[in-house]
Amino acid sequence: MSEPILRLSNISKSFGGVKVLENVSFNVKKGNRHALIGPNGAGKTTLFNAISGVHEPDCGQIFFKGKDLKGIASRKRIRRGLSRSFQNIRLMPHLSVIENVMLGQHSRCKLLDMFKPINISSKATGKTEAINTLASFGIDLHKGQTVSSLPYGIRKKIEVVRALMAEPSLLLLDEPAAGLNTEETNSLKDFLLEVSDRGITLLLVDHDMPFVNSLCQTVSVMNFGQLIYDGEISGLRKDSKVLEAYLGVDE
Amino acid sequence: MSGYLSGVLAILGINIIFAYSIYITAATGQLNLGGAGFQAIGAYTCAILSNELGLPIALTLALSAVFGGIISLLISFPILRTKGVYMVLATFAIAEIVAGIILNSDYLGGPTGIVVNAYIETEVVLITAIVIVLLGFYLMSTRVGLAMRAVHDDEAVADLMGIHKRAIQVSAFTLGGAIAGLSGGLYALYFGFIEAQYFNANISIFVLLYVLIGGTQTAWGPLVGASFFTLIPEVLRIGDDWRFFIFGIIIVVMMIIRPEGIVTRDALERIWSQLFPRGKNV
Repeated sequence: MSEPILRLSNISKSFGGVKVLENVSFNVKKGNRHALIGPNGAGKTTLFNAISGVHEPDCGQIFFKGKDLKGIASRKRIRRGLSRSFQNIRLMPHLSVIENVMLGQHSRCKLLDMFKPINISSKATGKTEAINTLASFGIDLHKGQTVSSLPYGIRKKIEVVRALMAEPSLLLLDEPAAGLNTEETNSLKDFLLEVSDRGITLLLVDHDMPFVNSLCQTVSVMNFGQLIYDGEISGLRKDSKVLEAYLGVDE
Repeated sequence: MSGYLSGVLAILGINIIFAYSIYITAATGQLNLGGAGFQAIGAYTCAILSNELGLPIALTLALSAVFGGIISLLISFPILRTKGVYMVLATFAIAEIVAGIILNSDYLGGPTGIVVNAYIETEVVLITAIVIVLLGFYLMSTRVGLAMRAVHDDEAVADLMGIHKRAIQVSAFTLGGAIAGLSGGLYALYFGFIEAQYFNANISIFVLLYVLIGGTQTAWGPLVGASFFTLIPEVLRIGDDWRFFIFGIIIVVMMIIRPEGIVTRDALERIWSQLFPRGKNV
């Protein structure tokens, strides 16, 4: 049995008087594809923000590779191997595709490399690596274009590639399939399976259940800030609490 | 070269350098409306070092930049705690404080100004301008420049990418102050006379316009913007008293048709793809 790469222990978070997360605990195993699902407002994105350091939890602990992340600044978490994408695409609109992707390498750069011109394709600048990574996912044709001019599905993939450039151990994906059509969703699934084959653990939030079912092995379900299910994805349909959260109960 | 042409070129050079000082700060998303204050710091530093200590010109210019940079560094920490319009107002207030100190200081010549003993030729200004332009292009072509643009576009995401946004903003503000100081030093040495009234709010507004009209997306912006603002009014001298009216209309039209500045990345991309239709690179 593989060890957990991420361990959440009794995470709670409130904004004002609203409890958004309440004693959330679950583990993500190394190399796994783990989904985090739940109705809107369940606290999934808040949990992602807590893991990536955007918000510090009010109480509870987050262990990544066995180490407590408490007090670790968000910008330092990526260096530890924790990278993420966003619910709404947040690529840099004025940068080209290749520049956006190279931004993902920032956490791995040495000080001297920061002063090398990035338009030179070389190992030192990281441009060759960025182009090769884009090519390996079949989206290198767009490398010179500014991202704002590209289709939504391509931009979603670029955001994932940018996150991958940090060479993460754990990739947090916030609704990667949102807004994609069936063809784009299938393409994204293949893309993420390829990412997973590279040994990267995936933790993703999504509402598209066929997508989640076909991609993930395990799942945690949240409702009103609380964890109501954590286990194999195959057991999801039989769980009464999950059915109640999604389908409601007869009065 | 005629005295007129020489003077226009010197002003062009000083304006270009000054524009890059504001551009480098603007590239990280910070608008500095206190450019004149930092230019004044450089100009008075240069004048005093030159008059009182008789230091060589190159050294006085270098120290103008260093002093401008040090002052910028010191005030960057409180200033960069503000954002948007509040930062614009805070930088504007800094320039007013600098002007106030100069006007009330007998040592600095007060309202009557200072005559600067040393003198530089137009060529010195132009060579310095070329160096600063190259520095601007180089900086924006590196990962530091990439990080600056990332902080400009989305601070939160830049932070999650591992970029130390505060370090980037402070460095850019400091470098901007140093370059503004250098432009002030060149102004003092070229014109041989400085007074607080010259370094007024109009100067700060104009240099910000150089950058905004030129475009903040690429290092071409301040070069094109400063050239536009320096050379077009000279060309419009044929319109006599109407020249600033015509120039004002041109600025308004430019802001309507090129709201993101004359030079944008998309425009450069289009030009590049037309020049090199097949071998298009990044």
